[in-house]
Amino acid sequence: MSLADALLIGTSGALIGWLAWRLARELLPAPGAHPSMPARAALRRRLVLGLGAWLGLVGLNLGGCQWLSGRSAPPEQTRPRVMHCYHRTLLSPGEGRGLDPRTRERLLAPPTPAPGRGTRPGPHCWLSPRVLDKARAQLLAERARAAGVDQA
Amino acid sequence: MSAPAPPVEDMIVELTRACDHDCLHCYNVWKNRAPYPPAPELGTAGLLELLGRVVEQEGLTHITLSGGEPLLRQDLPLLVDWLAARRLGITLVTNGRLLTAAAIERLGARRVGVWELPLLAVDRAVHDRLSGRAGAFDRATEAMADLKLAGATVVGVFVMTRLNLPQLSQVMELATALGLDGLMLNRFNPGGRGAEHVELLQSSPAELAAAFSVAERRSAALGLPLAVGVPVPPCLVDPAGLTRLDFGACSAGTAHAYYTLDPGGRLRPCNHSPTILGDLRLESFAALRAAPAMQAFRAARPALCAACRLADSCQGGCKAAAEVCCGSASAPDPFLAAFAAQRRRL
Ligand code: SF4
Ligand code: SF4
Repeated sequence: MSLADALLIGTSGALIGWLAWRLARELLPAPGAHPSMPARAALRRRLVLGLGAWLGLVGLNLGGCQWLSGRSAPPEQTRPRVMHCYHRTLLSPGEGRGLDPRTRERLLAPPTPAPGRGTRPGPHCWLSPRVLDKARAQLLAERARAAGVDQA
Repeated sequence: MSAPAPPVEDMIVELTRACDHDCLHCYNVWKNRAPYPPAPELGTAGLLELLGRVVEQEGLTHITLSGGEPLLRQDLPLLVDWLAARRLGITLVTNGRLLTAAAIERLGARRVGVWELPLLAVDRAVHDRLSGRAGAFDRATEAMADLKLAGATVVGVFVMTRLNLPQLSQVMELATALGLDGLMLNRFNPGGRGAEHVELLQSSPAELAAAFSVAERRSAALGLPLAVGVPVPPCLVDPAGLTRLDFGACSAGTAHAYYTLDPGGRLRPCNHSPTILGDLRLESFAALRAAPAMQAFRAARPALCAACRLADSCQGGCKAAAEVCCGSASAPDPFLAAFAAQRRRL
């Protein structure tokens, strides 16, 4: 519960209790006695004042005090959702996504010298030749598999 | 007190404290400055007995094997056999140094559902520096190529630090060239040895925001799936416009939590947190989930966030990093604390 909620509930309880007690005293007088006009007017005044104060508190709680109470829902896109176990945020076990082989082919192609700009560095520049060979072999195997599936 | 934390399907198992790398950003809890209580490593029989009981009691469907370096455990193939025989999903987190083609064959490229290896830079000097060991880049990339040749599902992990952030776009190209199935973008989250290198490694919110927008653009162009594995406070980095990335929030104590079994059989709320909930050899998983320490961890929020309307969903970043760096789960996440003055009001 937020501070504003606690304040609202506490004050509402106190106000309602006090008004009920005043009401009971004025409307249920001792047998034979009649509430006087000034007493009724004072009761009305207190009722209106009490209700006004209470409504004011409700308004304050619901409207102006978002930052205090944290009760208004933040926009969906900014509200962080609980993370899944971290390896599942990306993909379920065994569920490879498969990249576009043309993009990979471009990235693994031998560097092409661009006039005036030298050689464009690609990821292969950082891979040891052995790793590069294996990456290319895997890409070829994947293409062959895909072609096999297409022909089947 | 709130309801006890719900059951989960996943658990991380730290098989050993030993590691053949010494990453600058390593968050292993036994590398924290505050000592982590020692306990003898469980042997094969003890570990399998414990896992059998927990899997059955908790209804686990997936186990992540981590460490230290899990390949340093001689019984790893046997453990993988055991998990695969019970049809449990397996993720293996490794630095790749010992992952030769022969080791991949022994373990079974496809029996492990997801292989997670670091891809920290395109420049081997930077990758090796972050890994604390020469040759790390060549070994990791070769292991990735061998895994893909063997038909495995492989995810690269890019820890976003000041040292490698400028290479992110090229790392995404490299991941694509290697045929990886996705790339995790984890902002540097201080803990373990990493807590000693905050000055060197921690990027600013503006640097992270720029990197995330590069990642968004390149991911669309390359078709490379991305994920964010460490919560990023939206008050520091605006997620607007990042449709391919989800910043997420702490899952500790929820049904998506990744409780972590340490090498000695003790359970923690997650791999980053040093809080020991209890000894799983002596108590049930359900009892430890309901432990007051878990409730307190789940309820923790930094006072800094009290006025924020996202406090309940965001929870103020990573509580484990707050524990390690600032002594309490309800202290501010060190990233949030460092850049508190730059927060947007949400
Ligand atoms: S809860 Fe805290 S960390 Fe999260 S957005 Fe709000 S102020 Fe930032
Ligand atoms: S405390 Fe940090 S590492 Fe642990 S689950 Fe939460 S966000 Fe993740």
